[in-house]
Amino acid sequence: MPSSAVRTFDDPNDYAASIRGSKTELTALSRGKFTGKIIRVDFNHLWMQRASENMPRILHSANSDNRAIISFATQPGPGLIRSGVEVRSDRLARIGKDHSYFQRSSNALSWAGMSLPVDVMYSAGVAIAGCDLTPPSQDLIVAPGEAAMAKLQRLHAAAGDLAEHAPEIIANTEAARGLEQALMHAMVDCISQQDRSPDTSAQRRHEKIMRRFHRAISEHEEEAIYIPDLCAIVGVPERTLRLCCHESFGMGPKRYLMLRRMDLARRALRNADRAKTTVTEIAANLGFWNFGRFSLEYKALYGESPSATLRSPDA
Amino acid sequence: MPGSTASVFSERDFYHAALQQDAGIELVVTSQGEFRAELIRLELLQMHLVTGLERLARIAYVVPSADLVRITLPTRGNGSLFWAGAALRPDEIVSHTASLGIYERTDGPCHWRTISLPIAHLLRYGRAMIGRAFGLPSGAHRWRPTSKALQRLSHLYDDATRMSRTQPLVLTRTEATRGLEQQLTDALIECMRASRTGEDATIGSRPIDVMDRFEGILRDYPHRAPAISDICTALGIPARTLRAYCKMHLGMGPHQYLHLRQMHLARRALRITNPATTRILDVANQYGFSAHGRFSSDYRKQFGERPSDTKRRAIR
Repeated sequence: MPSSAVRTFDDPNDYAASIRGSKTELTALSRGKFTGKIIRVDFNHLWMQRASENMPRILHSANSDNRAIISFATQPGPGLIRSGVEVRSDRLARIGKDHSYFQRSSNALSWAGMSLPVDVMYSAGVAIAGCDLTPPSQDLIVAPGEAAMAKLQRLHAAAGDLAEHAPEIIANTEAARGLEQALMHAMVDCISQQDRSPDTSAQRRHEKIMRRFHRAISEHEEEAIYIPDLCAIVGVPERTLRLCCHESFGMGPKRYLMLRRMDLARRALRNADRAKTTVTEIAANLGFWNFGRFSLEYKALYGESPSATLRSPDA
Repeated sequence: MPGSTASVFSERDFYHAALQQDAGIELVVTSQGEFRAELIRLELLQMHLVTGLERLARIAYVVPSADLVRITLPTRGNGSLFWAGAALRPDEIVSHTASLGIYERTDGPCHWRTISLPIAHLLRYGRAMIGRAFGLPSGAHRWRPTSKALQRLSHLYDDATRMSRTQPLVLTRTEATRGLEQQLTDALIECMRASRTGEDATIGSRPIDVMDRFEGILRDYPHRAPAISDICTALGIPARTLRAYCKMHLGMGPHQYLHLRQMHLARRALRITNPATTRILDVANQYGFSAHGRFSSDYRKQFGERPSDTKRRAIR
């Protein structure tokens, strides 16, 4: 039964949790209020989403479903930087089976995703283009023909519009089936191109390091982590880690880790029972020993003091 | 157990005793006047930070604890610290491990700062952060970090010390302490990584070796000091060489140093003696002072009180 949903978010973590198909985490990079929007349409086999965010961010993505996934920008302009490589807005990414990467944007971004069960993708590839479109093991960037890409963008946008303004059409099985077929066809046309940029060994090494980096961080999900321990766990010198992080995040590991700790603090402050704890206690538990410094940084990032966050009722 | 203590001392002996917690330290206070020193000690998980604020000049013979490396940061304020005869420059830090004892002296009021941590801890993180090539020279070594790296370490240190005064409870919490310790480790390793080595970076020259043995000889004589000629024979150097080395490391000749040292030993004895049964004359003799009148007046000049006053206030 086809269905659709439209949702807006003011919390980056809720937004990330709603992104379909993978376990994602997001670090917002700007001051001010975060706004995100996700339009999701689920057909019989094809799942699609259209998402937008109002500020630059770092997203970590891990493919956990057994689906063939593609991703592309919906507007021209600066694209995403995936594992240090810029994905132009006229390209699309075929997400790899072992896919796990960091991607960052440098400003507000709108992007799109589509996925099919692997076996359906395979049969569609064979039927429409005569090729095997089983997901690659590593991500592949594809440069589709202009016409093919334009058609996909148009159809994808149309589906999004329907979800927002006429969801009853999507719920109508026949109309939905027609749209789903058209989308699948357009997708296969785009990705069955032979033109693709191969992964260089430097890129592979980079991704290996960042994969380990992310694993280390997720093993310490609720606690603070620092460069010396991180270097020991990931097994690369600080200099190498710094280069990789700059490529992936546009910032060094220290700042990234600090932002992450800040984010943990903010979440803790929002979830805390004001009667039972203090800002100092929460901050100290996350390794912030210099309370004055913590307050200043927190205010600069979130536009309010830590005590204001603690005081305000849970959203 | 992480935490901090701040202590103020008006007695040389108590200060001397407190310093032993950090490293084996033999202390001779060289200038006269009212003794006053403050010690701030910050105990983290693996590391500890010790800051000293001293009013009077002194000579300290330092041997770090066995598994630890002791790092000395530039002094704060105007006081100078002389390490193995050479002044510690404001752009350098010194690392010191137990294989060697070093004379460290000041020539007036001084605000010094040290970090001590297990050698294994430093090596582990140094290798993780820099690579297998990272090593810690044993003995004493001067490092010249980039000014950015040193500033970072210095500010972090001062912030931590300030926090221990303004928010002492924060640094009893394991997570907060761990955060600070990781940051300090990072900053310290960065200082070592980006170090420009000078010609005499590893302090392992002959005078240091000789002076280490010099102190060793003195320790073999807990009461009367050995004769200078005997010391020279044991060290295998002529008297003028010993004099030169002493001037360099101690800021004074061997006779003057021995005299001061013996005075300090005598004072320590008087401090723990039984006033009812002890005669100052005997204590003076025991430590090699035969001219009693001279001893009393020297004592008074050095310590600001008469031997009898010390005896009367003896702790039992």
